[in-house]
Amino acid sequence: MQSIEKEILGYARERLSKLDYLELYLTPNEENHSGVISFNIKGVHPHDVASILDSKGVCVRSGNHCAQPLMRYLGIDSTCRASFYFYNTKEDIDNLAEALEEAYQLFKKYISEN
Amino acid sequence: MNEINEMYNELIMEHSMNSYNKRKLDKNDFEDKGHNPNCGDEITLELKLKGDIIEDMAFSGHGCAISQASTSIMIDTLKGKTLEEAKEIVKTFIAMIKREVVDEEELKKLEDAIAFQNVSNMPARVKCALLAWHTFDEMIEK
Repeated sequence: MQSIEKEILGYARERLSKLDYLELYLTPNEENHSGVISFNIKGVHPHDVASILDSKGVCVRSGNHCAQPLMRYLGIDSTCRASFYFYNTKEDIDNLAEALEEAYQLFKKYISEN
Repeated sequence: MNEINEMYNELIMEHSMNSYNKRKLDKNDFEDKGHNPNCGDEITLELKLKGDIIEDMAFSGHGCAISQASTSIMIDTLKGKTLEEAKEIVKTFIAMIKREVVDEEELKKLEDAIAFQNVSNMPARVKCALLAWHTFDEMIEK
Protein backbone atom coordinates (compact mmCIF):
# COMPACT_ATOMS: atom_id res chain seq x y z
CA MET A 1 0.00 0.00 0.00
CA GLN A 2 2.76 2.34 1.05
CA SER A 3 4.66 1.82 -2.15
CA ILE A 4 1.57 2.48 -4.31
CA GLU A 5 0.91 5.68 -2.41
CA LYS A 6 4.53 6.69 -2.73
CA GLU A 7 4.57 6.06 -6.47
CA ILE A 8 1.39 8.04 -7.09
CA LEU A 9 2.57 10.85 -4.86
CA GLY A 10 5.93 10.98 -6.64
CA TYR A 11 4.21 11.19 -10.02
CA ALA A 12 1.85 13.87 -8.72
CA ARG A 13 4.73 15.94 -7.36
CA GLU A 14 6.50 15.66 -10.68
CA ARG A 15 3.47 16.52 -12.78
CA LEU A 16 2.17 19.36 -10.65
CA SER A 17 5.49 21.05 -10.07
CA LYS A 18 5.67 21.66 -13.84
CA LEU A 19 2.58 23.93 -13.64
CA ASP A 20 4.05 27.31 -12.83
CA TYR A 21 0.72 28.85 -11.91
CA LEU A 22 0.42 26.45 -8.98
CA GLU A 23 1.65 27.10 -5.48
CA LEU A 24 2.47 23.70 -3.98
CA TYR A 25 2.70 23.27 -0.23
CA LEU A 26 5.12 20.39 0.23
CA THR A 27 7.76 19.22 2.64
CA PRO A 28 11.16 18.98 0.97
CA ASN A 29 11.68 15.49 2.39
CA GLU A 30 9.88 13.10 0.07
CA GLU A 31 10.17 10.24 2.53
CA ASN A 32 8.22 12.13 5.14
CA HIS A 33 5.07 12.80 3.14
CA SER A 34 1.71 11.06 3.28
CA GLY A 35 -0.52 10.67 0.23
CA VAL A 36 -1.87 14.21 0.11
CA ILE A 37 -0.86 17.30 -1.81
CA SER A 38 -2.01 20.78 -0.92
CA PHE A 39 -1.90 23.49 -3.52
CA ASN A 40 -3.43 26.68 -4.84
CA ILE A 41 -3.74 28.23 -8.27
CA LYS A 42 -2.09 31.60 -7.68
CA GLY A 43 -4.69 34.34 -7.54
CA VAL A 44 -7.71 32.03 -7.49
CA HIS A 45 -9.65 31.03 -4.40
CA PRO A 46 -9.43 27.27 -3.72
CA HIS A 47 -13.20 27.05 -3.41
CA ASP A 48 -13.56 28.11 -7.03
CA VAL A 49 -10.80 25.77 -8.19
CA ALA A 50 -12.49 22.90 -6.37
CA SER A 51 -15.86 23.67 -8.00
CA ILE A 52 -14.36 23.70 -11.46
CA LEU A 53 -12.36 20.51 -10.85
CA ASP A 54 -15.53 18.90 -9.55
CA SER A 55 -17.37 19.72 -12.79
CA LYS A 56 -14.61 17.85 -14.63
CA GLY A 57 -14.89 14.77 -12.44
CA VAL A 58 -11.87 15.51 -10.24
CA CYS A 59 -12.57 15.61 -6.51
CA VAL A 60 -10.46 17.68 -4.16
CA ARG A 61 -11.20 19.24 -0.82
CA SER A 62 -10.86 22.94 -0.27
CA GLY A 63 -10.77 25.07 2.84
CA ASN A 64 -8.57 25.15 5.86
CA HIS A 65 -8.74 21.38 6.48
CA CYS A 66 -9.08 22.04 10.22
CA ALA A 67 -5.48 23.23 10.20
CA GLN A 68 -5.94 26.92 10.95
CA PRO A 69 -2.60 27.34 12.80
CA LEU A 70 -0.73 25.94 9.81
CA MET A 71 -2.66 28.24 7.47
CA ARG A 72 -1.72 31.20 9.66
CA TYR A 73 1.91 30.11 9.57
CA LEU A 74 1.82 29.87 5.78
CA GLY A 75 0.08 33.25 5.60
CA ILE A 76 -2.90 31.99 3.64
CA ASP A 77 -6.61 31.33 4.22
CA SER A 78 -7.21 28.04 2.53
CA THR A 79 -5.91 25.52 0.00
CA CYS A 80 -7.02 22.75 -2.27
CA ARG A 81 -6.02 19.28 -1.22
CA ALA A 82 -5.83 16.17 -3.38
CA SER A 83 -5.64 12.88 -1.50
CA PHE A 84 -4.47 9.64 -3.05
CA TYR A 85 -5.10 6.06 -2.07
CA PHE A 86 -4.37 2.66 -3.54
CA TYR A 87 -7.24 2.96 -6.00
CA ASN A 88 -5.81 6.08 -7.65
CA THR A 89 -3.76 5.79 -10.81
CA LYS A 90 -1.37 7.94 -12.79
CA GLU A 91 -4.27 8.60 -15.13
CA ASP A 92 -6.09 10.26 -12.24
CA ILE A 93 -3.11 12.57 -11.77
CA ASP A 94 -3.14 13.38 -15.49
CA ASN A 95 -6.83 14.22 -15.20
CA LEU A 96 -6.09 16.46 -12.23
CA ALA A 97 -3.38 18.30 -14.17
CA GLU A 98 -5.64 18.77 -17.20
CA ALA A 99 -8.54 20.00 -15.08
CA LEU A 100 -6.21 22.45 -13.31
CA GLU A 101 -5.10 23.76 -16.68
CA GLU A 102 -8.72 24.35 -17.69
CA ALA A 103 -9.47 26.09 -14.39
CA TYR A 104 -6.41 28.30 -14.84
CA GLN A 105 -7.44 29.21 -18.41
CA LEU A 106 -10.87 30.26 -17.16
CA PHE A 107 -9.44 32.68 -14.62
CA LYS A 108 -6.28 33.66 -16.46
CA LYS A 109 -7.32 36.94 -17.99
CA TYR A 110 -8.77 38.18 -14.72
CA ILE A 111 -5.79 37.24 -12.56
CA SER A 112 -3.39 39.49 -14.45
CA GLU A 113 -5.73 42.43 -14.05
CA ASN A 114 -5.56 42.23 -10.28
CA MET B 1 -20.03 20.67 -17.55
CA ASN B 2 -21.64 23.62 -19.23
CA GLU B 3 -23.18 24.53 -15.92
CA ILE B 4 -19.79 25.50 -14.54
CA ASN B 5 -19.18 27.88 -17.43
CA GLU B 6 -22.63 29.30 -16.85
CA MET B 7 -21.76 29.89 -13.21
CA TYR B 8 -18.36 31.44 -13.90
CA ASN B 9 -19.69 33.67 -16.64
CA GLU B 10 -18.43 37.13 -17.55
CA LEU B 11 -20.80 38.93 -15.19
CA ILE B 12 -19.70 36.91 -12.16
CA MET B 13 -16.01 37.11 -13.10
CA GLU B 14 -16.10 40.88 -13.59
CA HIS B 15 -17.85 41.40 -10.27
CA SER B 16 -15.55 39.09 -8.39
CA MET B 17 -12.21 40.15 -9.82
CA ASN B 18 -12.77 43.77 -10.74
CA SER B 19 -15.63 45.15 -8.74
CA TYR B 20 -16.23 48.88 -8.65
CA ASN B 21 -18.25 48.22 -5.48
CA LYS B 22 -15.12 47.20 -3.65
CA ARG B 23 -14.17 50.47 -1.99
CA LYS B 24 -14.53 52.47 1.20
CA LEU B 25 -17.35 54.94 1.73
CA ASP B 26 -16.38 58.38 3.04
CA LYS B 27 -19.12 58.21 5.61
CA ASN B 28 -21.46 55.40 6.42
CA ASP B 29 -24.57 54.96 8.53
CA PHE B 30 -24.14 51.24 9.05
CA GLU B 31 -21.30 48.82 8.86
CA ASP B 32 -21.17 45.10 9.53
CA LYS B 33 -18.89 42.14 8.99
CA GLY B 34 -19.75 38.75 7.57
CA HIS B 35 -17.60 35.66 7.82
CA ASN B 36 -17.64 32.02 6.65
CA PRO B 37 -15.30 30.29 9.09
CA ASN B 38 -15.14 27.07 7.03
CA CYS B 39 -13.36 28.60 4.12
CA GLY B 40 -12.29 32.08 5.11
CA ASP B 41 -14.71 34.19 3.04
CA GLU B 42 -14.83 37.57 4.77
CA ILE B 43 -16.69 40.76 3.89
CA THR B 44 -17.35 44.13 5.47
CA LEU B 45 -20.48 45.89 4.23
CA GLU B 46 -20.98 49.65 4.45
CA LEU B 47 -24.33 51.31 4.00
CA LYS B 48 -25.33 54.94 3.56
CA LEU B 49 -28.99 55.93 3.76
CA LYS B 50 -30.89 58.99 2.61
CA GLY B 51 -34.08 58.82 4.60
CA ASP B 52 -35.08 55.22 4.11
CA ILE B 53 -33.49 54.90 0.67
CA ILE B 54 -30.19 53.11 0.18
CA GLU B 55 -28.07 55.90 -1.19
CA ASP B 56 -24.79 54.03 -1.37
CA MET B 57 -23.30 50.67 -0.42
CA ALA B 58 -19.81 49.27 -0.69
CA PHE B 59 -17.80 46.32 0.51
CA SER B 60 -14.31 45.18 1.28
CA GLY B 61 -12.89 41.77 2.08
CA HIS B 62 -11.66 38.66 0.41
CA GLY B 63 -12.94 35.26 -0.54
CA CYS B 64 -14.01 33.05 -3.38
CA ALA B 65 -15.31 34.41 -6.64
CA ILE B 66 -18.90 33.44 -5.82
CA SER B 67 -18.95 35.27 -2.49
CA GLN B 68 -17.27 38.38 -3.87
CA ALA B 69 -19.46 38.52 -6.97
CA SER B 70 -22.59 37.92 -4.92
CA THR B 71 -21.70 40.83 -2.64
CA SER B 72 -21.02 43.17 -5.54
CA ILE B 73 -24.16 42.20 -7.45
CA MET B 74 -26.24 42.50 -4.29
CA ILE B 75 -25.00 46.08 -3.90
CA ASP B 76 -25.95 46.91 -7.48
CA THR B 77 -29.38 45.40 -6.98
CA LEU B 78 -30.17 47.09 -3.66
CA LYS B 79 -28.79 50.55 -4.36
CA GLY B 80 -31.56 53.10 -4.81
CA LYS B 81 -34.19 50.89 -3.19
CA THR B 82 -35.99 51.59 0.07
CA LEU B 83 -35.10 49.46 3.05
CA GLU B 84 -38.45 47.70 2.79
CA GLU B 85 -37.90 46.88 -0.89
CA ALA B 86 -34.38 45.73 -0.10
CA LYS B 87 -35.60 43.38 2.61
CA GLU B 88 -38.06 41.82 0.16
CA ILE B 89 -35.34 41.36 -2.46
CA VAL B 90 -33.02 39.73 0.06
CA LYS B 91 -35.80 37.39 1.20
CA THR B 92 -36.53 36.37 -2.41
CA PHE B 93 -32.84 35.82 -3.18
CA ILE B 94 -32.38 33.54 -0.19
CA ALA B 95 -35.54 31.67 -1.16
CA MET B 96 -34.27 31.29 -4.74
CA ILE B 97 -31.00 29.76 -3.55
CA LYS B 98 -32.94 27.39 -1.30
CA ARG B 99 -35.17 26.55 -4.28
CA GLU B 100 -38.22 27.72 -2.38
CA VAL B 101 -39.03 30.21 -5.15
CA VAL B 102 -38.70 29.28 -8.80
CA ASP B 103 -41.38 31.46 -10.36
CA GLU B 104 -39.75 33.71 -12.97
CA GLU B 105 -42.12 36.61 -12.39
CA GLU B 106 -41.20 36.71 -8.72
CA LEU B 107 -37.51 36.39 -9.46
CA LYS B 108 -37.53 39.41 -11.80
CA LYS B 109 -37.11 41.77 -8.86
CA LEU B 110 -33.67 40.25 -8.29
CA GLU B 111 -32.40 41.86 -11.51
CA ASP B 112 -28.81 40.70 -12.13
CA ALA B 113 -28.77 38.63 -8.96
CA ILE B 114 -30.81 36.03 -10.79
CA ALA B 115 -27.43 34.95 -12.21
CA PHE B 116 -26.94 32.97 -9.00
CA GLN B 117 -29.92 30.72 -9.58
CA ASN B 118 -27.56 27.88 -10.50
CA VAL B 119 -26.11 27.90 -7.01
CA SER B 120 -29.29 26.16 -5.89
CA ASN B 121 -27.77 23.12 -7.65
CA MET B 122 -24.38 23.50 -5.95
CA PRO B 123 -24.88 22.93 -2.22
CA ALA B 124 -21.19 23.48 -1.45
CA ARG B 125 -21.41 27.07 -2.73
CA VAL B 126 -24.66 28.10 -1.05
CA LYS B 127 -22.92 29.66 1.94
CA CYS B 128 -20.64 31.62 -0.39
CA ALA B 129 -23.50 33.08 -2.38
CA LEU B 130 -25.56 33.92 0.71
CA LEU B 131 -22.85 35.50 2.87
CA ALA B 132 -23.45 39.10 1.75
CA TRP B 133 -27.24 38.82 1.88
CA HIS B 134 -27.28 37.40 5.41
CA THR B 135 -24.80 40.08 6.47
CA PHE B 136 -27.09 42.77 5.02
CA ASP B 137 -30.08 41.32 6.87
CA GLU B 138 -28.19 41.29 10.16
CA MET B 139 -26.87 44.79 9.57
CA ILE B 140 -30.28 46.36 9.19
CA GLU B 141 -31.78 44.31 12.03
CA LYS B 142 -29.43 46.07 14.43
